[in-house]
Order: sequence, then structure tokens, then C-alpha cells
Amino acid sequence: MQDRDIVDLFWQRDQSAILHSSVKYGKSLESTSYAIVRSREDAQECVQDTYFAAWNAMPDDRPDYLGAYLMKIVRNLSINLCRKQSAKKRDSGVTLIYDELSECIPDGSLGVFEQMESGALASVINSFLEDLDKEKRIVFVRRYFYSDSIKEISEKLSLGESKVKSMLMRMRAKLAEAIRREGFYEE
Amino acid sequence: MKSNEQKILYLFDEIGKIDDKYVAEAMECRSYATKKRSFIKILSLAACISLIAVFCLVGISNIADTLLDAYKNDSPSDDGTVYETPDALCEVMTGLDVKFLSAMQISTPTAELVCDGNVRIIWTYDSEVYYSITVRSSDAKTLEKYLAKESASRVSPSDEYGDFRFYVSYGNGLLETPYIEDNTGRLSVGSLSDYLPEVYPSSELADFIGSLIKRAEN
Repeated sequence: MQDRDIVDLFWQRDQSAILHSSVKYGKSLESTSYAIVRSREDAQECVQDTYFAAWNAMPDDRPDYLGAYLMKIVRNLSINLCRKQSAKKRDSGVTLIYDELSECIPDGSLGVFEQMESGALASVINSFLEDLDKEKRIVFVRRYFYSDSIKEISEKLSLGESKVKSMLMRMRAKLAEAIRREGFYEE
Repeated sequence: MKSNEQKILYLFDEIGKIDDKYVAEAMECRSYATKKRSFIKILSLAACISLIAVFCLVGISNIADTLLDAYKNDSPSDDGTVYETPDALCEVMTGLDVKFLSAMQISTPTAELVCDGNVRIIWTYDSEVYYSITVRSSDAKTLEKYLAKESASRVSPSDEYGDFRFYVSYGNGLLETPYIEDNTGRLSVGSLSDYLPEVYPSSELADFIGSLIKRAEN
């Protein structure tokens, strides 16, 4: 079933919309959630909450990309759950990713950082992604949005692990430069 | 003031707000990889067909030369002119090399691949920018000895390879693709156009090539 048909079902308040979403995206959603929470039960719970959140939000939202829309919800829910369980935090699947992302944040004053509006930095990241070629963009998004491991990315894209690592390293440096250039961080 | 950790969390959250089209694009990454593999297969097939065509041309050319020689022996030319056939293999193979490297978006001029008899080393760290150095004749001889000695040691298809690609251009249109072990810092492994590398040189050869490249970089 096409995304727009499933969205129509959501808008018609037809509960089969959830079933169709589950068939089409359930596995990907659970996999993305699991990459963050590292617990099969928690991941399943996040996926269920995702359908519920989509059900509540849909009469207002009409997403063009249903998969991406659901994926963003499940990612947010998984991150929130992970942060609530602060004791488990160091064991979460994103600890390594946090370490890598720290390279994108220059040292210095945080004054500008604290005044940022929500989504402002996302537009910088969107511009950065726009400038990348498709392969690099996919690698970046798989790593930092989907929280895939290096091994998973190399398998999915048929690339060597060392190549993926070096691509990510260069992209982090470019992103750090873009963030600095846009004045989000004072030196 | 927020801590560094809070900034990282903020950045991670903001990545979650990227455009849906990028999220959807990455969701279908397997189909992208399949398309890429198909492209490589087509490229490989085209290369094989081109090589077969080259060998056929060379074969026909040789047969023609033999017939011409036989004819000349039977009826020598009046003015005693020596007929020289052009080095067809060199010209055609250089053309192929240029095509290969153009396909890989070579950013330095392909004029490096000329048939001037100079041995060159061509390499890249990230498949975007290619570098090359001309090897001194004494070093070229050493390089040739190493490659001849080790050409029999094939690389296992399961070996991983990374960004570092490395070729030796012999100045006669031929390229060789040794495989360098990751034992000297930035030197890692090599391949040509995503094919698996062919030769697995010893650490001595890796060190030798590394020293040539580092000398050129300095």
C-alpha cells in the first residue's frame, strides 16, 4: 500500500492504518528504536507509542513521507526513554555516537547556543546534507539519525568499514566547520 | 551554562529534525547499494568487452603484420622503406585507463597517463583527489622487481580494503594495482574501481612505496 493511502486511512480514523503502517514500517521502526534503547521490549513499546502518537497527530499533519514521519517519532520516543532511564544511559546504543558528535561542537562560549531556537541548527544540518553527494549523505543519516553501527552501514552500502569511518570523520569535520561558520558557537 | 554533554544531546536532537526526504532516502539505502553494485557490474562487463576487443584488434594487427612481412619478403619495396606499425596496445590501453579514471571522477589531469615511458605512481586517499609522482629510473627498477616477485600472491576476496587506492602506471598504457597492508600509518589498502586488489605485497614493498610517496608529499 502506498504511503498516501495509509495517510488517508489515518485521516479517515480507520484503525487499519496502524496495521498497514506496521506491515510496511514496523520492522524498520523497531530496529531504529533498538539501536538507541538496546532492549527489545523497550523498542517494541516505543513502536507502539509511535503508532499512537501518529494516530493522535495525523488529522493535523499530512506527511509526504510516512516512513520518515514515523521514524522521527520513534527516534524521539526512544531517545526520551533512554534519557529517562539515566542509570542505563551509558549502556545505550548512542554513547559512541555522542562521543563522535562531540567533535562537531567547537569549544568556547555557549551564549549563542543557549539562545538558539528549536530547529535552527537543523536547518544548518539540512544545508550541510544538501551539499553532500548521495552516498555520503546516506552514510551520515544512517549513522547519526538511525544510529546504525559502522558495521551495519558498511554491510548495507557494500562499503569497507574503514571507508565508512573515514567518510564519517571527514563529514564531522565539515559539519563542525558549517556550525562554526553559521555563528552558532562563539569562539 | 549548559555542559558539553547537553550540547551534544541538543545536536543529536536537531539531527532528528532533518528534512524527511533525507530520512526517506537513507531508509532505502539497500536499493541504492544494489544500484551501485549493478553499475560496477556493468562497468566490469564493459571493461572485459573492451579488453577482448583490444586483444582481437592486436591479434588482427599481428596477423596483418605477418602477412605484410611475408608479402614484403616476397616483393621488397622499391625504396627500401621500413614499415613501422603504431603501438596500438599502448594507445588503446591508455584510452581505457583514462576512461576508468574519468569514471572515478579523477580531479587531476589525466595527462599523467601518457605513453612517455616514465613509470608513475598514482594514488588517492579518498577517491576524490588523485595524486601522482614520476618514479626515478633506479626506483622504477626496484619497484618492478618487487612487483614481479610478488605478483603471484593473490589477495583473498574476503580481505577488506579501504580508501587508499594505488596504481603503478608503466608509461606504456598499463596500470597495475598492488594491495598495500595497513602497516604504515596512512598507507592502507588499494583497489581499482572497486575491484578487489590483485597483488598483496610484502611489508618491504609497502615500506618502499610509502617512502616514495612520503618523499613526494614532503
